[in-house]
Amino acid sequence: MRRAVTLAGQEVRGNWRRNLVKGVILFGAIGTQLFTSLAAAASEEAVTTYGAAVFGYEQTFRADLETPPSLAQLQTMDATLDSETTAHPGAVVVLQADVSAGLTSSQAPVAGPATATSLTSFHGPWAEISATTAASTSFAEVDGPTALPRLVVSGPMADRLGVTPTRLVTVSVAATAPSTAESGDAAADASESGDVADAAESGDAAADASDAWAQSPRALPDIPAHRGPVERNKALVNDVLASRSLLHLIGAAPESASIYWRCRAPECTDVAGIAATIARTAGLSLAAGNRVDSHDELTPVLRQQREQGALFAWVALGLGAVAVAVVATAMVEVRTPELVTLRTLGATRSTLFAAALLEGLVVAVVVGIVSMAASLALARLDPDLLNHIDAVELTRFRPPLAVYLRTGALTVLVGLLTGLLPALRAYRLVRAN
Amino acid sequence: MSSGPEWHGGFVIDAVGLAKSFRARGGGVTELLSDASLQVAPWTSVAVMGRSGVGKSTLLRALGLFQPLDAGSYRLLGSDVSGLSERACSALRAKHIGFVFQEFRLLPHLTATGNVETAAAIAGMPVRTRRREAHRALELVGLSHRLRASPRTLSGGEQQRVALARALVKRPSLILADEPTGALDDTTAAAVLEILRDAVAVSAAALVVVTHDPVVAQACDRQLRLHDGQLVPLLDHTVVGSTA
Repeated sequence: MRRAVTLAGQEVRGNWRRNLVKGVILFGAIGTQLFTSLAAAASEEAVTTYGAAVFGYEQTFRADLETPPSLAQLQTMDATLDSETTAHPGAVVVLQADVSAGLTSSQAPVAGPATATSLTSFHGPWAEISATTAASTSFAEVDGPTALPRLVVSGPMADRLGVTPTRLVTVSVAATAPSTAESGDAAADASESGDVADAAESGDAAADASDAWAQSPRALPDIPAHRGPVERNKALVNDVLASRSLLHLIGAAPESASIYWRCRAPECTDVAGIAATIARTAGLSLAAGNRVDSHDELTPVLRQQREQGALFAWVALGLGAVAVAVVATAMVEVRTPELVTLRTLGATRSTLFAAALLEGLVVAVVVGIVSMAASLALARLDPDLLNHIDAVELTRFRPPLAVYLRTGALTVLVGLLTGLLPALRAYRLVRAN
Repeated sequence: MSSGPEWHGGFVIDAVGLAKSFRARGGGVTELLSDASLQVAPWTSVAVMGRSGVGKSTLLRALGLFQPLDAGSYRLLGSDVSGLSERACSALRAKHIGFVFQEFRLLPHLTATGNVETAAAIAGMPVRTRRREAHRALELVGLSHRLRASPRTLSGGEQQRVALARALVKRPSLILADEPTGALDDTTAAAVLEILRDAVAVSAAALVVVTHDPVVAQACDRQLRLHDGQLVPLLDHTVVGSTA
């Protein structure tokens, strides 16, 4: 083995021009792998930075209420949530309730109002909505043909509710008009008590006030307004808003409820405490929170970048390795007389095999070290260079150690694999000569 | 064919009845060695002559443990090497056999010192003495001023002297030379021969030279001719000397 190491060292030094060619190809392959991984890491860091800077959070947690809340408890929590988020502007806490049970009987196709037995606050049939509104991914209120305010459930929300995604539903809301507070109270009472008949009557009263709604469709007393968090957690709060609105409209207790909160890393414990307080005020206990996502909106972008980058990098690595193996094998054939000379000097075939293998490994390791050093220098000189999220300028980027460990392992693997073919060739050539 | 008993007790090469044949493409068999015998003692040089294609190179490869034989006994330095493994043959070559070729066969990417050091490394010489021994060998062949020279910058004679240094650095017991002066002018050839003779004298080595050149043959202690697969003497100084 010592002789193989000596010979490999001499070959690497002596054939440095040939090895430089291999090294350049390998640099392209290993460098692509490394820099693609670093780009994904840089973008992720940029998104985290961006989330913290723009939205005020880095992490999102979710904790389930250990027992399903009643409607009254939900409303208590709603009130606490509002006051807590007002008192702690930095705390972003939202409440989500699963209302799918209440809508189960409403999932029939376009059929008509008959199936909406439990939705006594509702007025009018389920209906298919237009392609334009179906494409909407956020909560919206629209005026329907009956001039009643409508609640359009978003695509993702429809998925969660089990409604056929291609047939989003429009719910005509027969809520109490602002001018008819009495009937609105009746509707609310009916909702809370769950009394279907009362609620139906309230719905009729609301229907009479549809003209007034047409004039002021946004004054829906049953749909709570959100303050600050809406702006800062648009996507999350929109979904929750829909849930809460439906809940109010259905007037039924949810099957389950969860509290979400978003925070910067150092403040997450405090915000978790606020979430627990919200549950406690309703006499409920909250399970331990789990981190569900660090940057929800950009996660798909990051995932796409990571997956496409990885695919590209693997292809580059594969092609580079094959190219180096072929070039190295051709070089071995050119060096056949030298190998034969080494045999006359007493080198065994095994020694020449090991020397060729080591030569490939040494070149790969040198390339790996150079690539890593270059990436470190680059990350220091221009941290933003590898970041693909244009909206954010990364001013500081510390490349993750895991990326380097993986690159190191890949380098050794590629070195051995690309050295194997020429080594086998050397073994056979000296045998034949 | 033996060239008679040597004055020295032990032979470096003691080969008896060597046979080697090759199957030709047409299906026939070409017998290059047939009952060829050769004994060479230390401090002795032997020239093997013969026309092209007669089997001289095959003989040299067999003596250098590259060519498996069909029959015969070959003892190198007193040990039977007939059935040795490839690894054992390589070990013997690394430590005891030095090769010199007509076309030098230097490693082009290494310096003169690097070429010689490589042989020393393969011979298992310790790292700390390799460089010193390489320089000593190059000094011995008169190239102490070209230690760092690349083979491309060396003349033919200098390249052959580097090859000689590479063969001699491990102080071999057997030197096998294939037309060592074939690519050199007369003056350089004479210098190379002188180095070989000195090496034989100083290192107690045996030298077998395959050559077409009568001058080279005359410079050796014995001259043999490979004919019909057998080694026959042209002139044996030892025999002549004892007869006289």
